[in-house]
Parts: sequence; C-alpha cells; structure tokens
Amino acid sequence: MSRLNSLKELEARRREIIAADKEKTAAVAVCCGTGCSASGARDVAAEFERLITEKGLAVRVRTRITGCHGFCEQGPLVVVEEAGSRPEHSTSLNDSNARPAGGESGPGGLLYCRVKPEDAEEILETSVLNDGVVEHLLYKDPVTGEKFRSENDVPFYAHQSRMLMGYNGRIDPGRIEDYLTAGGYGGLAQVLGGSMPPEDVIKEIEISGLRGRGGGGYPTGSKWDLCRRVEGEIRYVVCNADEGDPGCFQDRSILEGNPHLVLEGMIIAAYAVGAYEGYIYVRAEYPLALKQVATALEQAYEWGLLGDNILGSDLSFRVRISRGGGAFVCGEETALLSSIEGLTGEPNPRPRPPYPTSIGLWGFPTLINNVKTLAAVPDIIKKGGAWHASTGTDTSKGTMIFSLTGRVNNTGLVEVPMGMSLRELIFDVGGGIPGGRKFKAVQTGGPAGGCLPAEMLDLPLDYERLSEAGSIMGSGGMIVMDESTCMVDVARYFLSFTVDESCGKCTPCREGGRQMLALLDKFVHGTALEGDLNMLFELAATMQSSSLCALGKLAPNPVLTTLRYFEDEYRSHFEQWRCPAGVCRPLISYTIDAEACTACGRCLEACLAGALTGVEDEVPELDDQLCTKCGACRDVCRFSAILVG
Amino acid sequence: MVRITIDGLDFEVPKGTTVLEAARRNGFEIPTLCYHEALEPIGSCRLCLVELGGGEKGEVVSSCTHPVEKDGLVVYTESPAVLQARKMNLSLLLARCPGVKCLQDLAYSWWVDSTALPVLGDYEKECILCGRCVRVCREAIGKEAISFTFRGVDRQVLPPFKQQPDDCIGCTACAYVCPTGAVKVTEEEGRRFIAPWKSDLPLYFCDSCEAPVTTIENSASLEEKIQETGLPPGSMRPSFKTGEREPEGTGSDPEINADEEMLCPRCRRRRVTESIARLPREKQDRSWIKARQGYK
Repeated sequence: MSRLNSLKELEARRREIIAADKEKTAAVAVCCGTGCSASGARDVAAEFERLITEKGLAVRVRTRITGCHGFCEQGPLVVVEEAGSRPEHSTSLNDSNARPAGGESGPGGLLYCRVKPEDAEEILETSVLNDGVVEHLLYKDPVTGEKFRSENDVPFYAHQSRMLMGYNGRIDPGRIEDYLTAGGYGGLAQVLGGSMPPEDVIKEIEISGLRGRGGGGYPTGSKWDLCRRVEGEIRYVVCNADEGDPGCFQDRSILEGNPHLVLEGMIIAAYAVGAYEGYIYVRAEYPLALKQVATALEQAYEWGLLGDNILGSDLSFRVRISRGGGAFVCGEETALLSSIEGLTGEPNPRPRPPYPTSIGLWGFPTLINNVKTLAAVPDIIKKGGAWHASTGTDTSKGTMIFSLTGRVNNTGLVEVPMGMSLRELIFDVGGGIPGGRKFKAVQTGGPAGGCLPAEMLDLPLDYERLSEAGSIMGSGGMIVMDESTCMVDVARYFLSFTVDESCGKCTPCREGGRQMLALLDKFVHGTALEGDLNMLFELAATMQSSSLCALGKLAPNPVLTTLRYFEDEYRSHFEQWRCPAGVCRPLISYTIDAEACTACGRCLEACLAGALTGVEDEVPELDDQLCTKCGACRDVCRFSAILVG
Repeated sequence: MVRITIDGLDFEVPKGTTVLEAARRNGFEIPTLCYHEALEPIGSCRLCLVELGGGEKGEVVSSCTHPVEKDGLVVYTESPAVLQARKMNLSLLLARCPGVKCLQDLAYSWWVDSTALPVLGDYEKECILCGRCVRVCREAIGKEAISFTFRGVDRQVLPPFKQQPDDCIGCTACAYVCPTGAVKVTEEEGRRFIAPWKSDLPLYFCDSCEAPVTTIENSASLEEKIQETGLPPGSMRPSFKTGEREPEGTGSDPEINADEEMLCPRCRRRRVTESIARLPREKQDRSWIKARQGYK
C-alpha cells in the first residue's frame, strides 16, 4: 500500500476498502485473544478458514481473527455477523456518529460460546448460509437457564458500555483496513484538518474529564498542558503498557485487539504536546501484544500515519517499542523511564515536582499515559469532550475497564461507566457468585488495592470514593471472594506479591514488607499475639509514610483494609486458634460426619497421605497426625460428610 | 539565598541546598546512612526523613534528596510521624544486620529497642544496601566494578556474574565509604584482596623503603586522572615503569630518576627534595612547586 499524503487520500482509501468489502455479506469473527487462544480458538479459526475455502465461500464470507471480546469465561467465542448487523461504515471522516457496532447501541451478531473446531461446519451451514441458530452453542444463563441469541442481549454485555472494548470484536488487529472502516484515524484526521490547534485538543481533553487510567487518576488534560508548556524542542510521548497486576489483562487486550486505537491516541497526544518521538513500553511477557503492536507500527509507517509529515501535514512522529523485563515496579513512571534509558528499573528518589512532564526521559519533558487513557483519546476528539463527560460521576468521567476475576460467574473484561456500584458490577455484569455461596469481599485495584466487604457493595466506583474506603482504582483489577476465602490468607498472598516485586531500594518497602509477611505467617500458624496486631499497624504506617515510591506506599493496603473490615477474623486466628473460613491449614482439622457418611469409600481412594482408613460399609477413620489437610477427600465426597473446623 | 524554617527557626540557605545540608549546617541532628557528602544522594535508607509543613499537607520526605528551591519551606525534623517512621526504619535495619556497630549506636542515641523485630535470616549480615560503595565506584572513581543485583529482599551488591570484576582497580574507596564495615580489605603476600567482590590484585612496593604502596592498576588510574588535569606528565605520579636504575648521583635530573624507580609517595617526596636541595638555588628546578600550586 502506498503512502497517504493528505486527508483526501485517507478518505479515498477508506471508500476503496469499503467498496472492496461490499461483496462480503457475512463475517465470522473468532476471538483469538490470549484467553480464547488458550482454550483453542486458533484451531477454531483455522477450521473456519479451511471450510470457507473448501466450500468456495471466500467471496461472500470473511473469517475475522479478532482480539479479546471480554467474555473469557465462555471462550472460545465466535460471533456471526449477519448482513443486517454489519458494523455501519462511517460515511465521512468527520462523521461524529461513526461508531463500532457492538458498542453501546450496535445491533450485535449471533454469539456462540465454547466453540470447538468440530462445531465450525454446523455454524457455517446453519447461521452463515441460512438464517438458523445453533441452539446448543448459545449462551445460557447459569441461574435462569435462559438462552440468548444476540451478543448484546447477554446480561454480561447488556450492562456494560463498551466505549473502548467495543471495537475489539469488529477489528482484525492485524489489518489496518478494519480499523479504518470502523472510523479509525478519524480523530487524527480531525486534528490535522486544520480546525483544531493543539490548544483546542488539550481543551477538549480537559472538557472530557478524562483521568489517568493507570491508577493515579491525574487529569489527563492538565498533564498534557503541563508538558506542552515546558520550553524546549524535544519532548517524548510514552505509552505505559507495563501491566503487571496478577489477574489484570485489560491493557494487554486493547493492545492485542486494537493496537491502532492506542497508536492514534499517541499521535494525537504528540500533536497536542509537540513531541516528535514516542515509546510504547510493553512487557516482553506479552508476545501477542508485542507482535500486534509491531505489525500496527509497520502498517502505520507504510501508510504515512507515522513518520515525517503525517498525512501531508507538518506533524512528524515516530514510535518505537521498548520491551520491559517484567518487573512490576516498572509501571511506576520514574522506574519505567529508567528502564527505557537502559538502566535498572528502579524508582527515582527525586522529589516531585518536577514531574516527568517537565524532566523525564533523558531529561526532556515526557508525557506518560496508560494504554486505556490513550485509547480513549480518539473518540473524545471525534465526538467531543462533552460526549465523554456525559458518562460517569462528578469527578470521574467515562468508562473503566475491570478485569473481573475470582469467585464470580462471568469472569472476563468488563467495561462499565464510572460510578456503577460494586453490586451492579459483581451481580449484574458478573452474574453473581457461583455455587450459591455468599459474597465476602472484593479486592479492587490489584495487589496494592484494598479488600472491601459486603457492607461496601453499594459503593460507586470512582477514584475518590474508592480511596476513601481504603482501596484504589489502580489499573482496574477486581478479584471477587466468597465465604470460603480467609482474609488473613488473602492479605498474605497480596503482600507476598508486592514483597516479591519490590525493587529493594528503600528500607521500609524491602525490610518492612518482609517483616509484615513474617507477622502474617504467625497469624496463619496461630502463633500470633495481641501485640502483633499493633506491630502490623506500625509497620504499615512506616511503609505508607516513608517508602520511596507508590509501590511501597500502597503495599500495606490489603493488610490495612482487611484489618479494618475483618479484624474479628484476625483475632479468631490467635484468640481461638481457628480459621473461620477453614483455609489456614495449621488451624483446621477434618472430621467425618458419621450421620451423613454413606461409607462409599471414595474418600479412601482420594487420600494420598494414608490418613483415612476403613473397611467396606463402615465410616472411615481419620488419623489427624497423618492428615495433610489437602482437601482431596472433601472434594470427592458427594454427601458433604467431611467437615472442616 | 532562600528562606527555610526548620523546627520553627528561620534560616537562609543557598538555593538548591538539600534540606539535610541546610539542617546540618545549622546544627540540627538528622541521622543518615546512605548519604555521603561526595556522592549523589539516592534516598534509600529512609532515616533522614523530615516532615514538610506549611501547605504541603504533612508529607514525609527524605531530606537528603529534597532541595530547597523556594522561599518559605517549612520542615520538622522530629515530628511524631518522622520519629515513628525513622525509628521503625532503624529497627528494620537492625533486624537485618543485628551485629553492625553503627546501627547499634544509632539505636542507642535514638532510643530504639533493638530487639523490637525478629532477625529474619543471617545474623552475620553486615550490608545494609546503602549503595555508597556502588556510587563511589561509579561516581568518584569512574569505574563500575560493582552494582546492585537481584531485587527485593534478595538485593545484593555484587560484581558482574559474581566473578572477580575486571573493572576493579583495588582503590578500596568502597571500603572507605562503607558505614558498616561490610567491605573487608586484606593485604597478604604482595596482593590486595577485597573480600565481597573477590578482587585479588598485585601491589607494588616502594623501591626505596620496600613498603607496600597500592595496586598497580590504581596507580595507573591515578596517573590518568592527573593527566586529565593538565599537569606535566610525571609531575604527580608514583612511577611504576621498569627499567635500568641509574647509579645514585650520576643522574642530575630528578624527574628522570623518579621515572625509573617505583617509589612510595613519601620516598618520592624525600628524593625530590633531596635532589633539589643538593643543587644551588639558581639551578633548582622549581616546576614541581609551580605544578603543585597549579593543582590546588
């Protein structure tokens, strides 16, 4: 493809692509995000492609390998787009209504869940060539048993407003053409069209109320403005894609599913602040994201959307990929910059201000924004800041993507408007807790966030309310826990993650974290004393007040919030030597309920430690000395006869 | 000059001074471990904490890295929050290295219970990871023989690949700046050993008094540095060139004599003085004295 030298050529190219696609009346979109790929989506996609070629349908039907749709629980996902539900192509570059189908109001296609390669033929025959529906592959509500035909009717999607994630299902991340037909690079065309000087772009971002989605929540508009105001020729734009929280994969999914969206956001940011160079800092553990970003960069250079004189304008911008080694602390701004410079990724002790916006990469003003922040930019430019500001609460605007994981029915990526309550998110979008268990707590904001109890379920999700409750928005982790979770154990797990990821530079984070972990170990083993609770508070206070960077300052959050909301649980660990949730092995013992036991003998086979002995038709006996409390017997028992206490 | 208020007293200090320097110059006592006058501060030990007041919402910062840029900075060196964190950090360091003298002394003077926290791991550990050795090697000596390796609780100062570092010249600056004595230097059978880095370097001996002087590499490095200052070659160096020694008294030029012998600084000074003193004043080579004045 040749280089585009003006906005007119971009528009012409868009029409060309739409015209070329006209023949194709149906498309089969196979989610090949990391989650679905792990459950075999690549084979499904290959099977579809093979069948379509074999049957000579290639003219009419397209197989589209897309990024993550978000509903990872039900993967591999296949969406059949019927002719009527095709994404509406934008008619012109400045068309503010150009939006991806499957977004807030798009019609959506037929959604098939847990598709296997052998289902491909049936789907093709029934739904693509005819108007039928393959009933057994439709999504079935786990509670009501109701089946849903269309993507947008599924409760998981129905409660979301997928401003950023909506594009993913409609775009093959390897094809810039797809992004263009979905209205992509329209925001860039608008700012380069001559009607928007950089000041207006920043103004628009300020109006939109967009705040840093990496966790800090700093107003994006002011950050851009600060960077722009610094004198000097050289400036950098850095995209922070060093997502490292356990269980978080939203940045990764956007980069994997729609890299051009982030790229467009970066180019607009470069235009606004006056930068000529940019970096995307992706961790090397994200091979697919790296590949998609590299492909996207290649295409963008080829098409003249990056490089010198973008689309014939005065704007020149280059983007390079910087691969991170996978250290959690490198998500911190100054550590990230050190890492790009080739130094050890350790936070800089320099007091702030000056922020990286005035002294950053190699000492030059640097704008660092998270993937989600940059991804929100193109639509804000296209549809206006007011459009973005119309979603959300007074202080937090737009949508937030959460990685919903843990003990919840619909795990996956959810994009909801700011201000939605935790209850709606967990029970309406997430479909509640599986197995009829009771909700106990939810951990927001990743390992440095806090655990919020059931009383806080009506808390609206915005930056301020979450920090008041002792937690953080963070990068959008959301781990749901039910009554079978021990909060001391949870706090210990999260703390062990931050202790492991601490760079070790400053004393409170390195030594304090280790001491706190040792104290929590005492609780888990039932050897804690009253004074240990105070010591936990003191250590936490020291880490919060005197750590060098946010990693150490936030690391005690899980411990402090669990102490605040679940102090009784800590107390019962050392006052009564029991773990109420039945998790901490040194404090629990197994007994057999002779009434319920039918002496089926399944537990005898399951026990590898030889702790269960018994003969046929008799209740087995349990030897406490030999029992390792692995729970294998409990898992196989069909009569709930094995009790933990 | 900018105004700063420390614990309620007003002072004027040059702009850009760190809070630590400003406080110490005016008689306030702030303990430090990772700070060293000659090195770039990294703010890692977190003992020099102070609390910022006056509009900056009671933030606790490390004074060694916080510059006084504007008028009206208000700091408290012993507020409750500062004392709590400082004492706890000291306890944490003591729990890491219980046997280190300088930590015990600090604990004594700051009323810290040195048994408040259990020792986790090695009782013999002496390194508190202040990084002075790493910085002096890089910043003052211009070498990078050692650096921080691993992360978190596993963090250690080590040479590359835990092997004898090629970059080490045996200058022992690391041992000089180490606050805890964790860097141990021994000299045996004509070689110098720096224990934690496995450095093993030959020493040169003074041709005159036969005392060990320093490592050959260190002397070469010093010579390079002196040449950078623009002084005449050989004007400061304790030479280590090998060559035929001219018999005493035949060579009249003191510089040539010095070049061909390996002398310790003391013997060299004596030799030069003697050779100058032997000559009548008008024939004396006074460039040495000029050179020294120029160096200052």
